[in-house]
Amino acid sequence: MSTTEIWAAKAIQKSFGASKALSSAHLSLRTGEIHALVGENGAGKSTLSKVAAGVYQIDEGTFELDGLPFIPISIMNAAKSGIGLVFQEQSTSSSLTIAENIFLNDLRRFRVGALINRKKIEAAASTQLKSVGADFNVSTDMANLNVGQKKILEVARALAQNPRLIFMDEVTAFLDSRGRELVLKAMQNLKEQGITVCFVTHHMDEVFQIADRVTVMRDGKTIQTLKVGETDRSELERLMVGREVASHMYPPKEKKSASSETLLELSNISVGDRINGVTLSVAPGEVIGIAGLAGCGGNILLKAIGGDLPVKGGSMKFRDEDYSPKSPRDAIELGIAYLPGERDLEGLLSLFSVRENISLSILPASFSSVSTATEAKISKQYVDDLKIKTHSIESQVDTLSGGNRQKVVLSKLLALNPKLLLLDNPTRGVDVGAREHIYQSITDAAHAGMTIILYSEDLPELLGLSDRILVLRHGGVSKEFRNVNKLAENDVITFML
Amino acid sequence: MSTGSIKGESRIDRVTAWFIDTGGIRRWFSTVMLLVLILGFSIMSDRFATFTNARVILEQSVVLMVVALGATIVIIGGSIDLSVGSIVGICSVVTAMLLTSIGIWQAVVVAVILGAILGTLNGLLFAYGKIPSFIVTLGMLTAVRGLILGITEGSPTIIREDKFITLFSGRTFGISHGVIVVVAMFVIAVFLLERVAFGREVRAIGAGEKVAWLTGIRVNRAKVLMFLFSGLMAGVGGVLLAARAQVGDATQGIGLELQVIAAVVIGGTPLTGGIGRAWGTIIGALTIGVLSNGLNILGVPSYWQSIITGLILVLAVFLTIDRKKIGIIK
Repeated sequence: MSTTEIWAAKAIQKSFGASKALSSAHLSLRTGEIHALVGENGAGKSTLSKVAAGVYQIDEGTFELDGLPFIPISIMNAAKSGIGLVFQEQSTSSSLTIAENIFLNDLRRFRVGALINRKKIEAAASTQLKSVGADFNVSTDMANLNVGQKKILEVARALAQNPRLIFMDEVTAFLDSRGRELVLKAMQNLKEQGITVCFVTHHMDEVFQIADRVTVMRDGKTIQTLKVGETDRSELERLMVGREVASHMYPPKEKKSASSETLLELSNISVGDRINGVTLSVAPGEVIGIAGLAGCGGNILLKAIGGDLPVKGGSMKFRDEDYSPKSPRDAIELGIAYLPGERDLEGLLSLFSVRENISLSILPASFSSVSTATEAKISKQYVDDLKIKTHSIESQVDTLSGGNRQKVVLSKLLALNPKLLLLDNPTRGVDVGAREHIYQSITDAAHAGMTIILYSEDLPELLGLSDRILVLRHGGVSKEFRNVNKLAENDVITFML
Repeated sequence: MSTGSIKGESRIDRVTAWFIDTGGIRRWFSTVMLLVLILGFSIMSDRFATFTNARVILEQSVVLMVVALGATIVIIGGSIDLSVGSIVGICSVVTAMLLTSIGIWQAVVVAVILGAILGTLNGLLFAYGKIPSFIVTLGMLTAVRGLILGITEGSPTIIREDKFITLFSGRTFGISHGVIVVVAMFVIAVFLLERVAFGREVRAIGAGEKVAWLTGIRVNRAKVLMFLFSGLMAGVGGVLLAARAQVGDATQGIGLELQVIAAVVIGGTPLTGGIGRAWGTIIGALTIGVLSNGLNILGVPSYWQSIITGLILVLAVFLTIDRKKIGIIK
């Protein structure tokens, strides 16, 4: 590793609508180093790697490549200048062959007339795979690859463009330990070829295993860059969390007498391949927080309780009766309401008005008449209670801001007056003002006797609202905190990583 | 923008503001275009704007209007029903064949129920078989057309029951009976789409099926019901067609599905679902009727009629589609 700087980000700012993802991001990468980028969810790590690779355009600031200003206008533009990106999400297509996936951006190289020269492309793909140390055959069907191998394939694709610098955005997030080893090995290979790697990760052990230097980000700002050899895990964690928690944002919790009753009981349940053997017993009126990294399966767990995903193993009991919902409707009929994490795709009908969205959960039977007046009355009440900012209840819901849209989804569920409310990241992408209103209504609901399970990637929020916190790691419970009052974020993070 | 009447604001300003507030060109395009067409044809020919011709246009459009009303429900639900032409065909043929043997009303009831059953079959295959509605109803279109050829063996059944013909295509006090049926079907469609929760369920499924499912709406049941209603309306359309044509023939209803989709879309219901109105569909069907009648009167060759209808369909979608709302157009 040399000490020449290959690339730098200076005072980068980037907003998405009202929320500021990056407010002052700095980063300096040296030729041939492996540089880790760490921070809490929402710290701006992914955004920084995406703007660096031309996925989004920055609002303010500058990038330098070899000491010269270079702000990519597109992914292709960045790639041509030698900057590659591997996404966190899967971006391979199962309807293409392995070779085609690798050379997706450069298929014309292998064109013979209107066709692709199969031999040539497969030979090239094979070379490309070898350079990342992958051991699978190019003629394998895509369907036979596991997630780790697919990720390797994406690394090979980024490499096909001959980059000098590769950003990898949480590429190991959804991988098991074997897949993770494959990817780390590939990174090491790149380093040996003189390629600079900057990878975003939540896994501290990866930082210490492979990185040369590490940069900590928090709330859209760069906090510090350290040599890996000169720091340790606890220092990094302290830097990651370091913010003062605005405790006044969270309404005081009500003192609850320990209840011996059980509302919901999960016995060793498994869902899909993400949740394996979770046991949990929830008393009426409790607010249970679920903590974990993105990909820990908290969202899957809520979906299973809410009837959106089938439970594969184990059993559930609700109010002492066997509970196995086949649809969200089954859950709703018993008084279990689920707020999805994907607000705009799963929570809201953007073509509908505020009134129609709120009253969707309380529609009468199919052939009974709807009363617009009743709907308006209920909607107005929630618009007032949750302080939803809207021109009128007849405004189309997509004219509202993110926070107000979320309040509409929450109103829709509260209108059901459920016994158990499942919340998946209720304040994701929500600005501070709307957050307080949402926290207030969650607390009010809890005071009124509603039981709440809150899964959130926002730790301060979990600490501020929960009576009890369950930490998930690799699909299982890694820790349960019965007393949240004196808990610090670091204590929880340790069990998430 | 506020629409409050400010002093000095002219009448035209206020009308413009009202126009924009109630949905602007998107909402009113079809109505405005229909009025422009009527005005244009009235200027170009004095044979167009007569009471008799107006009634002719209405009577020529009754089958299209009834069938398109049913299809509107399906399209608002985000699906498509390509089988309506064939269902109209088989119901017309069945009515014609059964009239004499089992009686007029009995034949009509059988035809309508047959339409509803075929529609339900569409819905079941689509909702529970998880087959795209385009494919299910394309299959139904083809299979039912084959069935029609099988039961008619290719020869038409002439209808000689004057009572039946009068009942469904005659007039009382100058009002066409077919138009009365259209009004009845329109009332049913409005009731389903706007008065009861079913309409909201259908719109929710069209606007975002996942959201509807997560909110506890019985998605599969609503899907079956919407195809049931589409089939039922096509059955009624078949009865009306039999009465108007006075014959049950194997070629009846061929290609009707495309006119139906054109009527629904010109009427402002996008194929992407979630929004739409029964009233728009009536306007859309009338636009097609007025266009074909007007161009006929002017002596425009029929190939030009096809070209113009096609252009108007594309223009309607071009001007009324809300690209921001729909996102990816495919």
